[in-house]
Amino acid sequence: MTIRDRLWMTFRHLQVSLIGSILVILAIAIGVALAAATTAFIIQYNQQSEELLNHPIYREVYVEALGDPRTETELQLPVVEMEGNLKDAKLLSVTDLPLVLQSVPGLTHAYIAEGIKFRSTSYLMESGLGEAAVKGIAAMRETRAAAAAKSGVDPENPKATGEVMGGTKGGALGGAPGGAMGGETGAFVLDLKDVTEIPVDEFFGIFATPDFFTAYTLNAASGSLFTEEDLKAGNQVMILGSNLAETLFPDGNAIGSRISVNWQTFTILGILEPSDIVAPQNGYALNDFAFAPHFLFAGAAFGKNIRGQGLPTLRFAVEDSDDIQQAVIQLEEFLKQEYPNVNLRVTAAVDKLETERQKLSRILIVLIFLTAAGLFIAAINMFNLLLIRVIKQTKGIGVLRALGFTRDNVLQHFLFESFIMSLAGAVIGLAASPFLFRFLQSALVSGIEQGSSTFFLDLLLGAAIAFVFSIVFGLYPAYVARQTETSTALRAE
Amino acid sequence: MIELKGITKIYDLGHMQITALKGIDLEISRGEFITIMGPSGSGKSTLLHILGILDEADEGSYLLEKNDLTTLSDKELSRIRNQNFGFIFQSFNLFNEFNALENVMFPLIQAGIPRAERRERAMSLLTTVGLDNRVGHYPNMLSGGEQQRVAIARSLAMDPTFILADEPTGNLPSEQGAEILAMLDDLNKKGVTVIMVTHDDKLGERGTRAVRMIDGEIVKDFRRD
Ligand SMILES: Nc1ncnc2c1ncn2[C@@H]1O[C@H](COP(=O)(O)OP(=O)(O)O)[C@@H](O)[C@H]1O
Ligand SMILES: [Mg+2]
Repeated sequence: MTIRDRLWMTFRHLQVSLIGSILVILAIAIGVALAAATTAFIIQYNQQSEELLNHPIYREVYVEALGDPRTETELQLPVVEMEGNLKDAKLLSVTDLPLVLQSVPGLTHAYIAEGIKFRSTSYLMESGLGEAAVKGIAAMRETRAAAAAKSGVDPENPKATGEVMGGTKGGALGGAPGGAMGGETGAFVLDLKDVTEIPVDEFFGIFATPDFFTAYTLNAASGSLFTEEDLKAGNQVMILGSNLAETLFPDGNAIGSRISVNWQTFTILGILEPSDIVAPQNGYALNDFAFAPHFLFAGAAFGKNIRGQGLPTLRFAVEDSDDIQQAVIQLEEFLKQEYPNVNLRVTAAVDKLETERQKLSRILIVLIFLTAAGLFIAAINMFNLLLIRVIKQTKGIGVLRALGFTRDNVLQHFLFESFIMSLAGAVIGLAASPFLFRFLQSALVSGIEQGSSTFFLDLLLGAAIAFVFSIVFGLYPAYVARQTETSTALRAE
Repeated sequence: MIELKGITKIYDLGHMQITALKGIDLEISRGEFITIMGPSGSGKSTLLHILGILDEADEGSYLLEKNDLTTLSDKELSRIRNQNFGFIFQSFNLFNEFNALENVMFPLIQAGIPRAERRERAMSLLTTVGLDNRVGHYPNMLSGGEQQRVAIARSLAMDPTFILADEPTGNLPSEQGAEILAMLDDLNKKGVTVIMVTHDDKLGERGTRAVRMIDGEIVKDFRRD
C-alpha cells in the first residue's frame, strides 16, 4: 500500500467526523504552539541571562542610603552621619570613590552614573517650561542659601551646582528621571552662541565619571572620551552614543559642535562605538544615550557634599563576575567602619537579575504546566476521538481483514490517522508559535532580544516534543483496532 | 481444495461455554457450489468464518490445497484471504465513505496493484455486475440489491478461488435476491467455488451440494451431480 493510498484512506476517514477531527487538530495546534514557544522562550531566556551575567551592568555593585536609623524615617538625601549639629556631619561623598577602590581590593572600578533626561533648551523655552524652570532655579537657590545660613555651612560652589531632580535609584540606566536642569548661579545667562539646533526635543543622558566608560567597556569611535580633568574642571562636554549621534547630527558633524540642553551648553567631544548594552529594566539601548561629566566633581565641589541635594548612588564594578559576592562583603565591611551609623545598602546588580530570574522562573513553571495541560487535553481528545472511531468502525475493521488487510495494516491505518492529525496540528501550531513567543517575550521580559540563531531550532524542539506526545496517545486506539477479533467484528452491527 | 478435520469451536463466555462447532469434517473441491443450511445458531457463520480464515478453530486441522494453515503468520493468512477468498455478507458491508468504484478497489489496493490497473479492473467488474453507470455512487445512494452487486464485484476483485457468502440475500427483497443468486450460479459455472450459508431451505435446492447443520454438527451432506 502506497503512502498516497494511505493518505487517501486517512483523509476520507477524517472527513467522516470532520468537526471532531478539526477540533482535535486545533487542540494539538494549541499544545504545539505553547510547547514550541515556551521551549524557545525558556532556552533563549536561559542563554541570554547566562550571557547577561558577564554583562558590565551585572558586574556592578552600588551603595545607597537607606534612611536614618535614629528616626526610622526614610532618609533619602543626603547620606549623612550626624552627631549633634550639621557642622560635624560626616558625609558619604564622592571622595569615597577612590578611597573605596584603595581599600576594597576586589573592586576594580568606581564611578557615578546618574540618569537624566536632556531637553533641548529651545524646546524648553517654546513649551513655556522656561519661565517655570528659571523661577524654580531661583527659588531653589534661595532655599539653599537660607539653609546654609541657618546651619552655618557655606553655600556650595555655585559653578558645580546642578539641580538634579528625581535621580534614579537602582540602575544607572534604570528609569529616565523626570527632568533635570543644570543651573548657573548669579544672573541667569543662556549662552546660545554657535549652538547647533538639534532635531529632537529630548533624549536620555547619564552624568558619569570617566571610570564608567572603562567599567562598561565603552570606547570612542571618533573624538575622545571625557577625562578626570574635564570632570574636575566642570567642562560642559558631551559624549554621544552611536545612534544618538546619528539622530542629533544626521550630517555627521557632531564632534566639536555645541548643543544646548537643560539651559546648559555642551560641546560634543566624542562618539561611542556601537554597544549592545541594553538596560535590562527598560530596554533602552546605551547607543541612544548621551554622557556628560558629573557636576559633583567640579572645582571646589570636589570632595565636598552639597547640602540639600541628592548624592548619587556610588557605583563600583568588578572585573570578573565571580568576584562580586566577595566584593560586596568587603565593601560592606569598609562602609561599616567608615560610616558606622549610616544605614547604607550595598547591592550587587546581579542580585536583581537573580530575583528577576526567580520571579520569571516561577512564571515559566506555570507556563510549562499550562503547556503540559494543554497538550494533555489535546492528546486526551485525540485519544478519545480515535478510540470512539475504532469502536464505531469495528465492523469496518472486520471487513478490511476479510479483504486481506493484516493486523499490522489495521494498526498502521489508525496510527497514520493520528499521525496526520498530529502533523496538521504541529504545522498549524508551529506557524502560530512565533507570535506566541513574541507575546510571551513582551509580557514577561523586556530588553531580552530575540536571538534568531537558535530560535527555529528551539521551536522545532518544542514541536517535536508535542508531536511525539500526541503520537504516543494515538498508539493505544490503534492497538485496540489491531487486536479486534475479526469474526466478532463482522458480527457487530 | 479445502479439507477440514475435526474442527471444533468453543466460545468461552466465562460463566459458560458455547460449543459452536463440534468436530466438523468437511472436504470442498474446486468448482462446487455448496449451500450450508440450518437453523439460526447452528454454527453456519462460524464455519464460514473458519473456512475464510477469519476465525481460528480451537481444535482440528485446515488444509488448503494440501497446505496446513495453522502454522502460518497473520501476514500470510491475510494474503491468502486477499488472493483466494471473496466474501459476501448479509449486510453488504461496503465502506460508506467510499463510492462503488473505490469499494471495489480495496482488495486491489491491499494487493499493491498499480493505480491505473486497479481502476480499470474495478470498472470492468462493476460492468460485469451491471453497475457501470453507478461507479461514482456511494452506498447510501444504492438499493440493497445494487449494494450487494458492488459487494460481489469487490469479492471478485482478486479473482478468488472461493466465494464465501453468508446469507447474501437475507436483507434483500426476493426479486433482488434472485438476481444475486443468479450471479452466484453464473460465477460457479465459470469455475469459482461458491460456499453459501443460508437459513432458507428453499435456497438449498441450488448448487451442486447441500450441507445441513444442526447444533454445530453436520447432519446431512448431499451432492447432486
Ligand atoms: N462471538 C461469540 N461469542 C459467543 N458466542 C457466539 C459468538 N459468535 C457466535 N456465537 C454462538 O455460536 C453459535 C453459532 O453461531 P453462528 O455461527 O452465528 O450461527 P448461525 O450463523 O448458524 O446462526 C450460536 O449459539 C451463537 O450464539
Ligand atoms: Mg449466521
